[in-house]
Amino acid sequence: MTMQRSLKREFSLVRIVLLVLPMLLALIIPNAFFRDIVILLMLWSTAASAWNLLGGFAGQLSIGHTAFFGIGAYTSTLLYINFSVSPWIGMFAGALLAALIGVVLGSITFPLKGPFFSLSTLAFAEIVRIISISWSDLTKGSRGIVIKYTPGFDKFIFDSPVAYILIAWVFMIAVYCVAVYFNNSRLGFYLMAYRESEDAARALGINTVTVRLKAVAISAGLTAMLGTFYAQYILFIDPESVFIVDNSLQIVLLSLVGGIGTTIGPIIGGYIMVPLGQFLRSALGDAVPGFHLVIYGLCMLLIIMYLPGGLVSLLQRRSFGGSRLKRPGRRRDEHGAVGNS
Amino acid sequence: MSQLLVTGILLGGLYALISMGLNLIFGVLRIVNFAHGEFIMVSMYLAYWAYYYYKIDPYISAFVIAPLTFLFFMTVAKPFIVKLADSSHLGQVFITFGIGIVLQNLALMLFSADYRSVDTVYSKMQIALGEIQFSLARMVMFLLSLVFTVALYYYLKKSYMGKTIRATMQNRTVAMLMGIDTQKVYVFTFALGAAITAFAGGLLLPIFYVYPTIGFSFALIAFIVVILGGLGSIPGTLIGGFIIGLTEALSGYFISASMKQLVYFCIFILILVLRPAGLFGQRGTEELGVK
Amino acid sequence: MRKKTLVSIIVVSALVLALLSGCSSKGSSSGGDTWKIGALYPQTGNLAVLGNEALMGAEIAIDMVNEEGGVNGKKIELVKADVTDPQKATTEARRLIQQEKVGLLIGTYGSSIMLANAAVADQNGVIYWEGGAVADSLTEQGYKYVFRTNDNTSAMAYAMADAIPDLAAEKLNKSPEDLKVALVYEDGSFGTAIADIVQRRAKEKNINIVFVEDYSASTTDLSSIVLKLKNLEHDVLLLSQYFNDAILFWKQARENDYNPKIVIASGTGQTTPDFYNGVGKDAEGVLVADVSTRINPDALSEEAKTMLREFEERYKAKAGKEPASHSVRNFISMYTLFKKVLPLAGTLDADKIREAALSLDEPYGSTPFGFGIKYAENGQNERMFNTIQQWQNGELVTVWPKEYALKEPIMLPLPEWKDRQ
Repeated sequence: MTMQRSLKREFSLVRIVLLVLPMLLALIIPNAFFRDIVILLMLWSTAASAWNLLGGFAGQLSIGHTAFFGIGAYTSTLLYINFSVSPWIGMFAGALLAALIGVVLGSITFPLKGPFFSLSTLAFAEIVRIISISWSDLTKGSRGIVIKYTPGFDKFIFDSPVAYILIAWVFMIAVYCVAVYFNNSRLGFYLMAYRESEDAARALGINTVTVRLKAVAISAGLTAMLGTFYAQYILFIDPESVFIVDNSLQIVLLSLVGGIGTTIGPIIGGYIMVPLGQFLRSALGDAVPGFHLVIYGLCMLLIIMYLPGGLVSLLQRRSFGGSRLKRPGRRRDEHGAVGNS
Repeated sequence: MSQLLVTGILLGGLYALISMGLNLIFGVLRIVNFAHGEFIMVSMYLAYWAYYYYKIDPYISAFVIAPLTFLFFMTVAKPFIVKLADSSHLGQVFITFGIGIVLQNLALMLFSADYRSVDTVYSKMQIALGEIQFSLARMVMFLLSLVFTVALYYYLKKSYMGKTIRATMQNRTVAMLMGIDTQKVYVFTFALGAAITAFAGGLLLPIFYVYPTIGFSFALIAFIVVILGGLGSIPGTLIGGFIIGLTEALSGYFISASMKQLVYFCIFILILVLRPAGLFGQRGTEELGVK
Repeated sequence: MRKKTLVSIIVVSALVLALLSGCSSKGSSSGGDTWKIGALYPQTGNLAVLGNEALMGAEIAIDMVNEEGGVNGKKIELVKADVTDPQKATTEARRLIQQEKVGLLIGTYGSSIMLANAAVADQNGVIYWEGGAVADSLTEQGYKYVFRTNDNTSAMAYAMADAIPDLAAEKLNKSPEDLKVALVYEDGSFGTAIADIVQRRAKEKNINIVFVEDYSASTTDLSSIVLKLKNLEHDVLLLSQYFNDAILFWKQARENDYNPKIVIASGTGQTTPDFYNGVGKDAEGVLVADVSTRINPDALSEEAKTMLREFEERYKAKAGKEPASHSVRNFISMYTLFKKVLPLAGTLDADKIREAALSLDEPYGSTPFGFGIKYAENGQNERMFNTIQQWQNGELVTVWPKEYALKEPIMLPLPEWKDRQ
């Protein structure tokens, strides 16, 4: 596909509508609860998108991304609380720090394959979480940090949700554009080549290590910036909320449900799962405790078992996501025949 | 100091027993089972229920729950295991994670969030050997872990089924060519792993207390033990368990309790990076069934 | 093209679902014939045990008030939301205010959830009536519309430290300055808060803390700390623990033959019946800082006594077990709100409620815990305190301070494990 044609697809009418609609609805409908959902939806979709740069395009399936999220949240918050540094600047500081840590982590763990890589990212995220609790002189540990509600642009605190809606939306579009770039650039092609077959990629002279390190730096940095946004929106952070494994799993889940390795997939995943979770909570949260989560778990299961390529695979005949979700050794060609192991 | 070592080793036996099942499911079948902790949790609740309503001692109900689990996975859950085996490892993570959430919240709905434990005749009994004291229940788990290790090891090595399992693990396609029904092997091995886990869960009840979210910490330790010991290596799991148990006891004492988790996570990463096959796994076997 | 439309439809319906999940504005909050109140408690997840107990305490208070005719003739309608972390608390609080149009929020269990609830309430000019969460920071934020009737972390920590001279020094025949105290706590927000305040208070009172160690509540093994304590010379052990670690610690103390002489704990670990269920008679003699209904009846007013009796009956009928402290905290807080404050205010308007609340002045002894009611400008009830209770014959009874003590403390110092059966 030529660059022009694929860019047209990435920014087709349908996609533009998808990307803009929630934001517009949130601006028009002055309902605080609805706006809150939309903001969270955009936040998590963007986080999933950022994860997808590493997990989907490069195939490095990390389940420890909450570490970067939390590093971003804590860096900007601590700089703000201790040195009155504007969270806007702190956000970039956090991104830089996360990118650096990501690169170090990547250089250690990239040689690991499949589930081993994933488990190592989980172990790493847990290490970060434990440190955040123990190093309480720095982070205030489990007590958490409350950010005083003093609205001001430079303080990145707003009294109107409109500002948060717009900022979250800008983040979402920006990360989407990065994903589009990945999908249509040399860097992206190299990553996808690595993902499909490391040996072949290396045989072609691609430096698989460098490209993956670039990917992790970008992915980590963007995730960290979202951590800062979260901190400025909720105005309270503690290790339990920003370093917990549930966050890591949530963003991977969104990408899986929407379509891993695609540009719009993670965003669609967020659009579906975040409102679904909230809807179940609102409708069933009043009944027997736990019921709404049972239903949520079942939905998650059904989608993953029967739509391994994610919802995006419904769009495309050649399910890129789908083939990757099957065991790599048993790829089916277009006629459904099984390839060699 | 010797008390510390004994504590560590007994703890190691406990960890080994709860990881044994995962070694079969993840170590041999390479299925990433994020619901491992919930398997333990469910069997603990079943044992609790048997004790509370029917006064059946957990040590006895463990012997009933385990075979029931085995049958369950061989029959009702069979199509599901097949589907699981066919998914990529990320798919497995999320399918099992989803099951974990469902199980956790079903337990919450049925039993409420209260912490439940049993108070049996022996759950508080101590044995003293000179200066050293330890609990009877933990000693039982330790001994059983040894028994299971030996039994499983010989089973896999000598029995026909055991050889079949190992063959399938090494090369699925060739196994199929040799006439092995690989699907049956997968289901059998999974069911066996689940049954062993269920057995361990029943034994855990007199020592711990069960609540819906208890699974996660156990699951994490089990993964570490299995990888440390070596995927697919039964004696490896035992040794891995001892190492983690001792590390926990020693680092908890000499450094601090909040740091001991940090220590074994670091060990975990080190092993993954330096020798992913684990201490007793065959080098290179970690790649099997992965890419 | 068809498939693309399909996906777009799915996506749009998801957004519509989101809208639906809140958009049933069920009328106004006090215009109709009920008072609409929102309740934000963790009913699932890690905090579920106490979250549900706390909620039940609140519900019983509301049932009782409704049965007596409601407030100014109108019944109270409770809209419940399950909130397991600050993010959900923020979202649900907003939903309850905006969609369900509740006029007032009550909660909760779990300090981070409490802070999130309070923040949203404050931003929306709605009253947040805290029932049971204890972190001091709630009333340090400068909120105008937040009120807490129950005790806070400082009260608990002070009780622990202040009781040492009477309960430890006297019983061990030493002067308080000569005592050696060890402090062990779980590293969550509650444990660390207690540890901070206890250490500060101990310094003020010239009590020496010689050992401090924390651990993660989700640990599966505490023998390392137990062994360290065994090898340490100390007189008093101060603990702040949750359920599982409390039971685990005490079991491992026995297993390793660690014999503490005096144990004073705070936190949910040792205050619930589950502790006794978990360790049985081994719990006897353990001292706990908490609120208690097992206090000297002479310290309570008649109204408080009747209130308490009725509450216990209803709770037992509903839950099948004895109420523990969090349910009672919420009961007292909400009963005060709906029986004393709201009728006075006559409306859910935040300023009127604030006025009404600040005007209350009830002496110590008017509530089942022995609390009085007098809210400070920051919303915290000042006439609250913790007592020290002790496990005696399978139940917790107050043993300190003297004016509230129901019984004398026994088994101090604690017998060694080998002397216990």
